[in-house]
Amino acid sequence: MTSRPAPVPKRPSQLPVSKPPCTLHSSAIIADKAQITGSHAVEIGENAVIHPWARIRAEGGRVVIGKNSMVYEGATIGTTDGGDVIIGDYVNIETGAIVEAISVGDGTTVEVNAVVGKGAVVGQWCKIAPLERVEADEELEDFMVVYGDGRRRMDMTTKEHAEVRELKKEGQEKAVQAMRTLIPNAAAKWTS
Amino acid sequence: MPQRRESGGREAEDTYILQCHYCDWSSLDIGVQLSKPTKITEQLAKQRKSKRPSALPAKGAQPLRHDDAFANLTTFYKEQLNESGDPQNPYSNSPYSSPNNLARIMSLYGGLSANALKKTREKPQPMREARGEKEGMSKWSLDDKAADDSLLARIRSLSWEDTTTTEQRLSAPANNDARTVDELWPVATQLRTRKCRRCRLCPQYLSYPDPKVKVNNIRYKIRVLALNHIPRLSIRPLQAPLPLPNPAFCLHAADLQQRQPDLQPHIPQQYVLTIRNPILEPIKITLATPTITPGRVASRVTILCPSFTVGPAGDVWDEALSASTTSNSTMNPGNGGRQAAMASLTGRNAEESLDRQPEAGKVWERTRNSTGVVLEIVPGPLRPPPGIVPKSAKEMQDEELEEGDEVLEVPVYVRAEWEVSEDNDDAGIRKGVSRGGEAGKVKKELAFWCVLGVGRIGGGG
Repeated sequence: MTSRPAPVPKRPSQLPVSKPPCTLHSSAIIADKAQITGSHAVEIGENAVIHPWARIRAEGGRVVIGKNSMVYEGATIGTTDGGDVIIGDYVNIETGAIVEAISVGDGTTVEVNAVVGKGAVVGQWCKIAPLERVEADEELEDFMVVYGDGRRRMDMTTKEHAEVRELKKEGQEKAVQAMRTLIPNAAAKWTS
Repeated sequence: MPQRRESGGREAEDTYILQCHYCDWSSLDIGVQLSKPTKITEQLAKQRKSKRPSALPAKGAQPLRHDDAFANLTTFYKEQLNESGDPQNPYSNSPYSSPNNLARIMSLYGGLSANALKKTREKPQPMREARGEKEGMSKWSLDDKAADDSLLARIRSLSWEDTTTTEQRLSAPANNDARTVDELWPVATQLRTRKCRRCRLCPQYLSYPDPKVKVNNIRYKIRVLALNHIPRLSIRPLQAPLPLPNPAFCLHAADLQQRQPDLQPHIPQQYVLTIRNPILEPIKITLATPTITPGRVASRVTILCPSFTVGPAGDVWDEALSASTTSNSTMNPGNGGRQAAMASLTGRNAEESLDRQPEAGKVWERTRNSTGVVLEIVPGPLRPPPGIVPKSAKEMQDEELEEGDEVLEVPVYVRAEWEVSEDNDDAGIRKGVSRGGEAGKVKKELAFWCVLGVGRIGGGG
């Protein structure tokens, strides 16, 4: 199926009465204005940062976010009708991106306003450039770059150089640390 | 499209790479690492040079690589230029700085004239073109089957995206031969700057790079502002009662306080209104002013010569070198020639020495790019003459002077006309400026109102 992911239903005018069962790591940062909805389980790993106005929708299935990952403002993760979404470690979901994939591998970046369709499997160290899309049920190999209006290429730099991967991880850790100081943590809101 | 721009490079242990933040291409893909984050172009050139020889033997008898061919061709042409020499300059190798001087000296001492010498000198070889690979000529052979086959085989396994676009090939000489994306070489973005910016209409520089800062710093100074293209007006009394000191040169505080004497109402005063031309074309000026100044205090103003020409601005030396010839054309007939002649004889303005009177329709004084005309002003009374009829309250109120009413200010309408030649004026054509009488000339005009402050009217009478 190549249609756009299911449209986001209207935001409820009040906070949902029932919070989804959340498993939040103690070092994760969830902003007060972040939205977590649905009835399925939500797991957020070590040092992960959920920015204000990020949306995690556990309505159709579980949402798992790995350690040192970041979900930016306005990004949407999760499905409304069936299917878990598993986000790996060191993943960036940038502003306005929509991720409904089955899984997103470690070290992958989904750039601004990019779309990863339902049922897609995104490998490790991939990059979805801004405004690009990964179709539903598509499988993206590791180290693939989606860019330039749907083109794909292998990122040989990251693939063949372990030190580059290490550097990227290090950079992500630093970015996460910087965000920790900027975003007030309201994780308690979701656990209590 | 793989980006080949330089973006921030980063690597461990003091090695750097170029990386595109959009598609994650990096210079590691073509095996390039940089040792320092500066002088990237230089480092790239060095790496390219060191890479090429290793690539050559594999290709066997391929035509020369582009870089080498270019280098060869450059040296070849340089040699050609040296060999053929400069036929204009037979003494180019002499220790004398000026070949013309030398030629003159040689001809002074009899012997052969410079021309004769030139003839005896053996004819210089005409410049020829490159003939072989060593001289930079690249041959293109059709029957290099092996190379073609390998290329075809390579193309078969490639997709369209792996081939280079024309844009990429033309981005730099190094990329002209690149057929596939992985043969492309990173090239620095070309800086395109303009050194100076000239006006379309006149030969003035509008802006030029700031000479104080270094060449690579692109900071511009605006040299000619629009304000500098407007004729400048200044006014001074014809017969100054006492020489007014320039406030900038006042040594004592008392000098500054000593102010200009007040103008007496009803007493005609004559002023010289000087118009200075800032542009490089002679301009024709027409002045207009209301006979009676507007406002509470009505003063009478007369411009004795409302229409005249002002010579072009330019280099001071232009005038000095071509003495009386240049400015004559712009002067009134009768006045200019004689004046110039007298000026050149006596070294001063001939008529200035005479006790001459301002005359209607005559220009008072004239320099290279300024003209002065006489303005006669009769300051009005501050209060109307006392009448016999008693005044109403409203009239009384009208008579009350407000702050600043006693300042005599003259509104003047200035209209300047000039012609520019059409060839350096495309802006004028676009705007549809009316054509002047002469072919190839476009008439321009500029008009504005301005206010001249003359002085304060005294309270007496």
